[in-house]
Parts: sequence; C-alpha cells; structure tokens
Amino acid sequence: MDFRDSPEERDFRSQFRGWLTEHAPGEPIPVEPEARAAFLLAWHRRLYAAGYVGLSFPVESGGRGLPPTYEAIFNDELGAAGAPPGPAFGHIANAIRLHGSEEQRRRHLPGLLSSQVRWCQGFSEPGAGSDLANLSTRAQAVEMNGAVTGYRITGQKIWTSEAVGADWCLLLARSEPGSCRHHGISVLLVPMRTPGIDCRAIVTASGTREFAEVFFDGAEVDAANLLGRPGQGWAIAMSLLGYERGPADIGWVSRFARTLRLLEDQARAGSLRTEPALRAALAKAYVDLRALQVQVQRTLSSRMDGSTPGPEGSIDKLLMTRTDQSLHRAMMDLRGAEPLLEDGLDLDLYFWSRAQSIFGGTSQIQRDIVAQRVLKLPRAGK
Amino acid sequence: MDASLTEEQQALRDSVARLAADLAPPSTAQLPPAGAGESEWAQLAEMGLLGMRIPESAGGMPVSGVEVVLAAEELGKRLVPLPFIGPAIIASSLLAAGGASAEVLESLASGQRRLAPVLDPTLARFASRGEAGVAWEARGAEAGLVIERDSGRLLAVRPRADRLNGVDLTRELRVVEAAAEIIDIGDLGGALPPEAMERTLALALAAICGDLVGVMQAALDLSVAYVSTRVQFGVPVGTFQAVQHLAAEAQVSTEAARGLAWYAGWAVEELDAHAALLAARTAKAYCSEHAREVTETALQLHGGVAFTWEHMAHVLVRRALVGRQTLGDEHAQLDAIAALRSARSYSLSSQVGAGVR
Repeated sequence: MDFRDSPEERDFRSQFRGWLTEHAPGEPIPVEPEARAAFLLAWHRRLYAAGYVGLSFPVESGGRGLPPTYEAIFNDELGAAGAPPGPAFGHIANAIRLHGSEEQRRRHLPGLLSSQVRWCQGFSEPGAGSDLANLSTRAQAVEMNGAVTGYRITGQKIWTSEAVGADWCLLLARSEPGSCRHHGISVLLVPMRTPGIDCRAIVTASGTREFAEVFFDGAEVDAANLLGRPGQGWAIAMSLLGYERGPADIGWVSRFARTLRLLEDQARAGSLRTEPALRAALAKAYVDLRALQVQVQRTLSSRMDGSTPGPEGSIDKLLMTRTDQSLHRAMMDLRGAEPLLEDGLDLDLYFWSRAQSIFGGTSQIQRDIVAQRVLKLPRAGK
Repeated sequence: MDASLTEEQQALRDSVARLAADLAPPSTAQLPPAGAGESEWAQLAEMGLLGMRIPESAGGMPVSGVEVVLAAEELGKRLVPLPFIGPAIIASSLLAAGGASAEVLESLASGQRRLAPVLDPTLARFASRGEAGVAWEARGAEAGLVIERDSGRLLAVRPRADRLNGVDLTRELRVVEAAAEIIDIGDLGGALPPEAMERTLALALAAICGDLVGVMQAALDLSVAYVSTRVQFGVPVGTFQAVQHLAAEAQVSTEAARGLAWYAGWAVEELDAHAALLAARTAKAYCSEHAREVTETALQLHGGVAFTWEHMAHVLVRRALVGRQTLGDEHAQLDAIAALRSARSYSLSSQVGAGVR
C-alpha cells in the first residue's frame, strides 16, 4: 500500500498541474445552454489535444494505456485547480472498445476520444427508468432476400444527456419482436441526423437544458451499425454500468473537490455563516469527500490488473451520493439567503445533488444490488 | 499510487485473523473475561503483535501504521478481550518515542510487562500526572502510563485494583486517582518530542479506527447471516427490501470507514506529522459516526433477540460506543478538523494524492 505517487505518477501530476495553470479556463462555465455546451466541448478538445483524455484507455484504442490510478490524479488536479470536469463518455467508449467490431472501433473511437464527434446514450425511456429491462423502443429488422440489411427504430428515449447537438447515439432497443424483459435487446450506433429522429430539450427544475427527449419514428440505420450480436444488448448494457456507476471513471469527485475548495476559501475569508453547527457541517463535508476519494483510489487500485468493475461499483455510487448531498446541503446552509435571492449556480448544484440519488440507477436500485450481489442476501421468490 | 494491500500485509492480516478467531469469546457468558489472560497474551507476543512499535534493537518487530490498523481490525472483528491498542500500540509508542531503556521496551515486546495509557475522565485525551484518569485497556496491566505536564516525561502510576463496571465487556478500564502512587519500573526516558507526540496520537486514532472497522464488519456479518435464515411471513426476512437496504447502507459505511482507517495508518509514517494527524482525525470522525450507526443497524436487523444478554449484538454496540468516545468522537474530531482547515497558515501541500488542498 502506498498512496504516494510513483515517480512516473508524480511527473504526470506535475506536468498536468503545470498545463492547467496555463490552459484551464479562468472564467466560470456559462449558464446559457448553447454557450455551456460549446465551452465544455472546446475545453474537452483542448484536454485531448494535450494528451489528457483516455489516460487509462488502451493504446490500440487511442488511449494512453496508463494504469487506472492516473484517472484519479487527473480528477484530483482538475478539482484542485477549480477547472471544469473532463469528458464523461467513459462508458460509451468502453462499449465500443469491448463490444465493437474492428471496423467500428477504428471508425468511432478517435472521434469520440477527441470530442470531435459528440455522443449520447439512449437508455432510459418514459416507461423504463429504474426498470430498464422494461424498455419498449423497437428496432425492427429490415430484410432483403432473407438477410438483415438494417433496423427501423420506433419509440422514445428520455433523460438523454447532451442529446441536443450530439452526432451519434448509443441506443438500447428491442430487436426481437415479442421479446420481453432483458431478452431480445440490441445495441445500435445511431447517427442523430438520421431522418425520423426528433430531439427536444428538457428544461430541468433549475432551468438548465442538458437533457433531452429523443423520438424515433421509423428512423432507419444500416445493419453494420449493430454493436455486438443481435440480442446481446442487455449483457452489453450491464457490462457498462460498472463504468458508469463508479465515480472513478467520471468527473464527479473533482467537481465536489472544487466546490469544497471554494467553500473553504470563502470560510477563511469570512464570507460564510459561522455558527458552530455549520462549521462542523463543512468539516463533515471534507470528511465525506476524503472517504469518497480514498474509496475511488481503492477501486482504481483493484483494477490495476485490468479487471472490469463489478457490482461493487454500486457501493461507490452510494458513497458518492452521500458526499454530493452532504456537501451541497452544507453549501446551501453556509451561504444562507444568498443562493435564495438570486436563482443561479448554487441551486443548480443543489438540485444536481438531489438527482444524484436518481440518475445512473437510483439509490434504491444500488442498495438492491449491494444487498443481493455483494452481500448475497436471498432474493424474494427464490 | 496503489491503495491495495501488499502480499505481506495480506499475510499478516490472515494470520491475525486466525489467531483472533481462536481468542474470540465463545459467548457472552465468558464476558467480561476473568483474570489477566496470560496464555492468550503470550500468543499475541509470540506473533509479534506486542512489538509492533518497538525497535528491533529492543526485541521488537517494528511495522508501519498500516499493519497496526490491520491487526486492530481483525482483533476488533472477533471482539478479542485482550488489551492490544492500549499497551502494545499506544504505551509502547510513547515509551519508544520518549527513549525508554531497552530493558523496559524488551519487557513490553515480550509481554512480560503490560502498561495501560491513562486517559482523562472524558476519555478524549491523555491524562496528566496529578489529575484523575482512567487506565485504558488495563487488563493484566501492572501500571498506568501518564505524562508529567511540566517535564513532558512519562511516569508509571498504580491504578486501583478493581475494574470499572464499564459498558465495554471486552475492554477493561480502571480508575487512576489524582494522587496515584508512582511506581518505579525502570527508566522510562525523557520528554516526548512534540512531533512524536503528534504521530503517536495519529497512530492511536488510526488503531482505534481499525478496531471500529472490525466491529462494523462483525456487526454486518452477524446481521447478514441472521437475516438470511430468520423466517417470518414464510420467507427469510433478508428477502425484504427494507431489510436489504439497511444492510446495504451498513456495507457502504463499513467500506468507506475501512479506506479512511487504512489511509490514516499509512499516513502515520508517510506524511508530515500535521497531515498524519489530520488523516487520523478524518478517519476517526468517520469511523466513530458510522460504527455507532452500523452496530445500531445490527440491533435493528436482529430484532428482539439482540436485546438479550446471550446475544453478541449488544457486545458489539458496547465496544463501538467506547471506541467511538476514546480520544474523541466525531463531534470532537470535526471541531478539530474545522480548526485545522480554517487556519489561514495551514498548508496541505504534503497531503499526497488528494484533490483537496
């Protein structure tokens, strides 16, 4: 056990820290949706150009092939510098890397990693939120002379992040007529500009527009856009959840570290409330964040041998949710009336923290997974 | 950075786990234990657990804070009613830091002599000579160890012979009077350097965290086993989601607590003394809060049976409550952390690998 950086890690950390000093945007992330998307896209392209995207991704897939712990250093430094988060497409990139054909990997991974091509993930539906296996979007096989030449997609997706402006969608749809639950589902790579696709932004409770509803009305894609085998969709989706759920792979930890750093700076400058209970709440947010950071380091270390994340990722997601919610409650309390008098970023962060226990699998679903698949408690009816 | 255990650390953990299973109290009927537990104590000595913080030159087998935390975790998990953290970790570290004679240190490493650190009556800090205190983990101890305020030296004092009727059935506490007799047990060395004091406090906190994590794991294991077989409404109660979710939350708390305890153990030697102490206080804040929560969950998951004397669940709660209070519970730690983090001059530049500085 050694939490200290190895010499190579230290070099990487110091290089990245130096790079951030020069290149991290000084201005805050814009609130207006289009400006926000453009701002983040430019930031992600800059990170890629400097070699900071796909750190632990294999070299043959366009990454740098570094150990998973480099992702933690990357997120550490982003958080410490107060820089915007890196791109969060880890699960889509891994889907294509692990399940795509040679041709699909060659075609899609470079654009995905470089943020030249923008992707979204079409999983949730109005009738399939926590119960993803209840999805009803259909991908009907189009046949010619007995061979499948394409798929015609009909249905609706919802809560699709960054769908407005996306070029491609990793879509989960039912390809086997009459199939139910997790059988007969396939993954398709769908160009968003295919005729028959309509995308409408959802205005969230805090007024932002990152999410969208996506409607498919007979949109047709070529059979070559199938990822993996027909009917393999559920297995692919499940293999990705560990990546999506593990905070190790996404930038949340760095966002929380950034928020905490700002709060502590403001506390030192005397611009926050000072009641003892709130001082303790800020200290508790620090403790919770450290618990999460160390947990992420342990998870990444356990993956040094190249193993993929398992159901333990749900422990990390639940811990991340606790940290997010305790930090942002403390933030709202410490700032008192200020975030209430001017609707802005604080309320947005607060609402995000409340949504943390819903998106990417609700806390209730995560607890089911921990109880049944980690602790091996008996299942009802078995 | 590699946050996983080395092969040697895993091997130590496994062998302490085997020993702890042998030394576990078979039932509540054997608690509190009678006598000084001489033969069990000899087994701790034989495994080298009593010399973990004593230099090799004085008969010890020094190891890092990580191994200390791992050993404490395994002993805590089995509710081993022997004084490990008090004499073998805290007293030994203080004496080694103060420059006690090789003869004294050797007698500690061999198990020939047991000394219990003396805490003040709040259990939240070390006691000074001249104030009343509590000899902490005093089973079989011939003396308590106090710090003389003016000289900063360690002194051995005689605690009262009878044990306190404390709630922790596995940990013996004895009253040390303000005017307790000083006893001569050899050369205990000179004043403790402030940095050594800080590191010893960090190590003590980390070790107690290890113990609390062990207790949490025991509470979780006991509960999972119970709800998997206890049938109500025709099915094991562990099939109910309300029950599963309590267990899942306990699992999250236990894993997170374990990570912070290991990190704190690692930090004892690897970070500067201030940062090591912050890491230890962070772990202690988390472990204190969640050890109570997780052992309370065990009570809930067991239902009425947990409130019978025969059941081990209450023994876990009792050990958690005392461990939690010792050297400061989460309220005390959060207060200290807030003070540390809000100091303008405070620099965490040496806090390795963390995004928060």
